[in-house]
Amino acid sequence: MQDEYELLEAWRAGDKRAGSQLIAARSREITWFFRNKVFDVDMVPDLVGQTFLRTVTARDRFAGETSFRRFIYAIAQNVLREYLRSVDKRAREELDFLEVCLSDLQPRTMSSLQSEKVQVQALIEALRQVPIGDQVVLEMKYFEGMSAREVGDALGIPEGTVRGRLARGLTRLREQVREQLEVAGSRGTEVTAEDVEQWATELRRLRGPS
Amino acid sequence: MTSSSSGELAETSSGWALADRIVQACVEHQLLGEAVHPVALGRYRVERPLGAGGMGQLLLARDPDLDRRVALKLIHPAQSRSPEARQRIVAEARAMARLSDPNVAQVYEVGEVGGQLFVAIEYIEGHDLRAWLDEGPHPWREVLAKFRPAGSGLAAAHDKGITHRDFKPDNVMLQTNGRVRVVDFGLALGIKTPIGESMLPGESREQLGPGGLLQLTRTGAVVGTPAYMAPEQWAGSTVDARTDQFAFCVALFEALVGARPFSGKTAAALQRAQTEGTLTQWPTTVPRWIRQIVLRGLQIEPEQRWPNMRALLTALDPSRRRRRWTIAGVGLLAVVSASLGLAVPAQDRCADAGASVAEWWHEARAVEVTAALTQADPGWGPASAVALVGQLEAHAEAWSVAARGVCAAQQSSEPSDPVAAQGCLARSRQQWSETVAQALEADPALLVSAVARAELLTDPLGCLDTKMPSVPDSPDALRYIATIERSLGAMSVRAGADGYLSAMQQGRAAAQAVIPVAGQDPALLARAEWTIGRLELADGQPRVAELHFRRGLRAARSSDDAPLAAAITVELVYAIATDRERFAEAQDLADEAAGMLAALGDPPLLGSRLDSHRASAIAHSVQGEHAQAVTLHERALRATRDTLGAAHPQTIAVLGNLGAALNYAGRAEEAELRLREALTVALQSWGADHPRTATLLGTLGLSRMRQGDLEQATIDLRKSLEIRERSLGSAHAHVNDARYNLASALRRQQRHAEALTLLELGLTQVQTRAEARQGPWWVATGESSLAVGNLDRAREALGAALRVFERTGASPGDYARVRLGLARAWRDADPERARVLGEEARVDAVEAGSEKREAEADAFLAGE
Repeated sequence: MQDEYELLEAWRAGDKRAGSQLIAARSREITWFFRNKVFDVDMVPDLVGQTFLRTVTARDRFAGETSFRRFIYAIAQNVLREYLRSVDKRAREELDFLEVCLSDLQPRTMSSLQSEKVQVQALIEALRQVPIGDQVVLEMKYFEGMSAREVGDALGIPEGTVRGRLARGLTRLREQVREQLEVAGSRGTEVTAEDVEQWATELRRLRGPS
Repeated sequence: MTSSSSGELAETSSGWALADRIVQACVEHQLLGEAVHPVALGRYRVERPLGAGGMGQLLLARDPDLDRRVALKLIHPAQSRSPEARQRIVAEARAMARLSDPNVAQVYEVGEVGGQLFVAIEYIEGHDLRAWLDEGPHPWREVLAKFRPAGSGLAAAHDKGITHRDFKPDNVMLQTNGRVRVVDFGLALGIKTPIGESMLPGESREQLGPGGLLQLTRTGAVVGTPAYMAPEQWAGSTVDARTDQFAFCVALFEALVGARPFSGKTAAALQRAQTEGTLTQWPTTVPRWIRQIVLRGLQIEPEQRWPNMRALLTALDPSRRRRRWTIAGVGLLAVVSASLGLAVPAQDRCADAGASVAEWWHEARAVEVTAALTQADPGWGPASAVALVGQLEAHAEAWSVAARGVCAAQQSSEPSDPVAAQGCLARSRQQWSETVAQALEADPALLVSAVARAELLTDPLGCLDTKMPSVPDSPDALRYIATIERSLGAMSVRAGADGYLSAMQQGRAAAQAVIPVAGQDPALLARAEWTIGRLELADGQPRVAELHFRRGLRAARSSDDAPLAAAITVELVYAIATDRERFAEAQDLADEAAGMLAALGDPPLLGSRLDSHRASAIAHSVQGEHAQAVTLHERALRATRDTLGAAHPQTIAVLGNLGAALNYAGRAEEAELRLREALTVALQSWGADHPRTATLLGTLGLSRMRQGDLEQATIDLRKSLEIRERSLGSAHAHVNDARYNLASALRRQQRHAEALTLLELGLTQVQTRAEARQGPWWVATGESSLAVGNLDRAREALGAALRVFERTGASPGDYARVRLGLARAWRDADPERARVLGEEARVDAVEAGSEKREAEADAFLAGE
């Protein structure tokens, strides 16, 4: 994605149009990276803005050998980490994305994403109940429709690791979706991987293409 | 992929898409300076986000038609999912739109685009009240100047049936032109009811847990709202205008005091503070009349708060209060014709309701009171006059506020009982007048406790709930009670032994006469028992005093006399404190008393008495934390001296207590300094023959003994005993204390035979009265008997000491001492028994950490 780096360079040189094009190209994706990971919907524009701002300021520290997508996701993850630390005292000391769930930090905060579809809503809330690292890969798959390889490329981790996280995350996710549905009073039976896949497809349809 | 999406889904889909586009526009605005891809909500064009606003999103937008900026509040989708919720939000927003008030941000309209509900609100530039508060403490008049318009905005909304539900300093904007506007109103119903609305179905409040509550309302890193939530909001019950009043009063308290009234890091701690009424201290820089007004708004029960915001604001109106003038540094009231202002006519009528106070409290009266006190005692009179006049003035002000409040409540067609309220005001006024009349008698015996008594005046603001206790109206009983009061006072002012004893006798006679006259009137009984109890305490009879206090407490409670109930509880602490077995009970009672005092606004003299009594309990306890006792006495001294001046008998007494506590804490040199200071004043106030002077002299002797000056100590202690014997009679408990102390000094000089004479006499007295503190007497008698070779008596006395210790508990050091003494007393008669005792003593000594005793025990076991 050499052209995105070019846009970035142009933006740094003062070309607002280039900045606007870059934002237009990536803002939806980055918005959806944060949408289900905040405790306050007002924070979303701020975090997305911070992420773009840092692509500008951190450019020099990034040699450009990676894709722009990996670059911007690396920044987005840092922004997320800082946000979570600022929100939660416990997270300030140690925040292990592979251990901690959003629901551990603030158990009773709902997602800023809301759907009328009960199953879709259950999926959204359940995603906040898995370790944040797993949530990241699961949401890239379910929100963006990315493959394990694409996720690996974007996050800079081996595809095998992504698959491992997806599998581990899915097991936990299915249990959490079942609980969410139970709380909503609509379903008490097992939630299969196919169910999750089906509701994720519906979610993507509601979301529309990036 | 989505080309086949059904129409049914289109609406929600565009809701998410709209949100995405808003984010993009905001990011563009932030990073590029303008929204390159502007988003329209209705006719409004979104510019940028406007700070956090609860669970909704607040955007700055432009209305191109009217060319003005507006704030757009996006209603959180979760809050508007059901049609009912949407209807409710729309209805409330429309109601808000119909409200136009200079102190409320104007709501323009409510709209909906692509399933997203939004409300267009007047955009207010300026900073919020929170920022102003953060600038540091502001004088109370300025605080009121900001809060009254904000309160007026709330009141205007309440008039339309709208409740704010989230009033806090962050939601009050100070415009650059000086106008005060309440924002983020009402719409709360959809946006901001974090508790009820966002709870998942099937979850109870308990499951939600306190931490969860806090987090629900959390916006970003700021946890603000729970601090302003009224108890009924926590409970999830009906929320109304009085809930806003509570929040308003929390914010006002915070602004005046610099700290919130209830402190707690968690929701649970906050709630506990609220329900227990644990309040942050009120600073002296803010008038107490304001405190009374604010505290009423902070009542747990909504029914006990002000009937409405307007009544509260009327009470808070400083322009309606009398202008102050000063004499001898004391603010006094003067009548100022009501200035014509902005108030509505109904409030003008109420302004006059409080004005009649000027008929009975005015400059001339204040001068008379000051003159009477100065005449009563040129030493402590003037300082007491300042304090008393201040109290009387505050009371008169409160009365005037109460009168206006009663009037306002009646004008506002609140359900009220005008006859009861007026009767209450009349009783309050009568109680107050009696205080003034007593003061004018210029009798030092009565005036010495005038300031303390004025702390017991019932707060006239109670009349707003008609909570004023009935005033006793039996002249006979009142006369007897006054006689006892006078006796109590006489004992602390009159010089000489005769005066003290005759005062006590007069008091006793009146005490016997008053109870039959008081009959069944609890208000009278409470006062009578309270005074009798104090008389018994003064006479060294804590057990008898306790009985009277308990009866008095019941009566005070049944007559709704909160100040008197608090005062009795404070004295009860002392009655119990002398009994080391009941230390825990004394502590519990002291905590209870502290709560009662806090509810009264922490009257300084009662507070200092409580500190002193707490310290006494500590000094009498098994493991006396004497350093803590010293701290308490020091605090008591500050409060007493600040209120009554250095020359007042009460201050001298507290100074003496401090000296004694310093002695116990092993700080004998400081003790001596304090005691000399006290003695100097005491000799002037009481004379050399007064039993209280003797008490101070005795304590001074003890501190000299601790410093090793045994000769001087013996002289002081003997003199103290002689004065007390003369003035109180040989059998008095205080005389016995003096005997014990003198005996201790003699024992240290190995003058055991002399000591034993005193000890045996004292023991007889102690046993006759079945006093609790017999242990030390037995120990001293046993040890001295041992020293003079009377082994039978030594075994008897030390055995008795051991039994007392086993019953009441004692420190390991005490046990070591007694067992070692017993071992020595048994050595010849029963060597085996002596050896066992010696070994036990050694164990005790090790436990006590006393190397000296351990060495003594070793030496004994080795055959000395």
